[in-house]
Amino acid sequence: MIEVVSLTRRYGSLAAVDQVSFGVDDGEVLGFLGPNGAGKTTTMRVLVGSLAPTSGEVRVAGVDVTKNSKEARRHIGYLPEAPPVYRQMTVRAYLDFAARIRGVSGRDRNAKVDRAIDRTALGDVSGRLIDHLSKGYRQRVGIAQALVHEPKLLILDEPTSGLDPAQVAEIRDLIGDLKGDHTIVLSTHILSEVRATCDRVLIINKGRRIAGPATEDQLREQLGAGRTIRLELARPGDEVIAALEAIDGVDAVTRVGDTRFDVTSTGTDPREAVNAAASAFGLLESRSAGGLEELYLRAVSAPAAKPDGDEEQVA
Amino acid sequence: MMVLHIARRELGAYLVSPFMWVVSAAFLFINGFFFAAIVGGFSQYSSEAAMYGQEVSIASDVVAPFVGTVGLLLVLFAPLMTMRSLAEEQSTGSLALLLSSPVSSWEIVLGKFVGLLCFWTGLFGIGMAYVPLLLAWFSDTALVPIAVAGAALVLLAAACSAVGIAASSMSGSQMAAAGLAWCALLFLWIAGFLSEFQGWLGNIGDTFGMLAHFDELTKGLVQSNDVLFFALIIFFSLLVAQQRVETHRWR
Repeated sequence: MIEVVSLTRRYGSLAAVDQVSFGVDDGEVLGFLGPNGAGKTTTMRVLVGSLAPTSGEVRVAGVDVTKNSKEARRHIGYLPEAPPVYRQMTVRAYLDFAARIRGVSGRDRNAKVDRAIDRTALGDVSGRLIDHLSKGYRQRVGIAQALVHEPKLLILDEPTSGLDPAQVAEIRDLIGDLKGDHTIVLSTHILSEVRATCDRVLIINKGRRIAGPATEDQLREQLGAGRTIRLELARPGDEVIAALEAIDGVDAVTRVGDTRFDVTSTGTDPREAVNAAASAFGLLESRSAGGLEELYLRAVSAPAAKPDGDEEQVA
Repeated sequence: MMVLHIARRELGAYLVSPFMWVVSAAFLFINGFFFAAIVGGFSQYSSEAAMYGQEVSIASDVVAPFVGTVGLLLVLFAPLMTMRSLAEEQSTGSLALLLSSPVSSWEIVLGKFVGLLCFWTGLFGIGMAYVPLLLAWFSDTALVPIAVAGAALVLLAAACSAVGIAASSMSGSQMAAAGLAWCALLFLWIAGFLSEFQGWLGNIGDTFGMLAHFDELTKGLVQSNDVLFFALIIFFSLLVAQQRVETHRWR
């Protein structure tokens, strides 16, 4: 759906995005993960054709975004960081306008506006001025605007920022619903959001691609990071540590409390065997600790990877 | 087509804006006041003139001075009407909707322009319809010069709108947009005073003096260079605005 080849975007001498390449498959949900100022928004604005790249190639649905920007924009729905709403319009009138300028004509339009209102659960407020809506509702109007013309690709820039936990959950559910009908790229700096909604993750920092796009497991492999399993046992004996360390793939077992143990591993996934062995000691709880948070911090604090397509460069 | 969609939304936004209603009402009220004063003055003056055998006419002694007054008020009020146009889109972020849609910068700017044009036409057509109606009812003056003067006003309004849109494209500040539009329009309006001078200063006055070009039109003398003057102002102003919108893709 998306092909990005050594995309660079400079603001003066500052490279906001530096030689980034990646691809996004049809129907997948890709998360852009990175600290504030990493270049997430800049990359997204280039993808939607509202910002021209300094160099590099970007194709959306096979259409070159720079050379044929207007055509590419037909296939894209975009939610910027601030929902781009006209506050003095009603929700319905606004979505009707958004559909019109995306080229949805005549008879189709009412049906598509209805569908967008339905999908984003805006039915109760469709006749109200956007100015009078809460922030969560305005965000939903922003999402409705992005999908009203039923684009192949949805680009959502921090769709849950500034919302309360209940609203965040609603937006997440909504994105889950949209999955499958649309290819979705969303940016965030919240890790749990990535895990909840995304198939693959792309980590960027200071304009460079650090890791991905990859699943959480692939990331772990790429970054050479271990897995930590935290166990809570009802009847821990002295032989627990020896028993767990004997399992294939387990590197070390450390006791972190009276009943809690951390099992670290690299290579083969030992979770099943660990849990089976631990049940003999009254397994109360077993969960993966560290995980994405650890991977992310490791990736972001590591020196930036070599720019893509610069394979010849001597380190 | 996209131009019309944007123009339609634009017009809708004006119609629900209390600010636009208040400014329009003030504009129409002051115009009405001047109309009453000019007609009152004319009725007194014409009876005196008749005693001395002087020629007077509605066209030259009522319509021309009135339209001149409306023109000046238009220049003063237009920046208030146009300041929102692109500045508000930039400050609220709604411009992102247009920029990420399959719409060109020209279509955005022309949409804004056509929307304003419809607004002015409606304002003159409804709010000042009393002028031709009263003149036709109470005098036997020809309506063609009045229609030409009306068209001249719409042309002036179009030029002021284009300048206003260009000013509004500069930043997200509506205040700055209004101030810039005022400066530009007042320069164009008073540049005509320079034609008193000899040499290049006088040439500037002759070329850029919007007042002189406008006066010629309101007299019912439709000359191609006067129409061309307004057409060029409109074209170059909209070009500036289009370039500014386009820079959002580049900066």
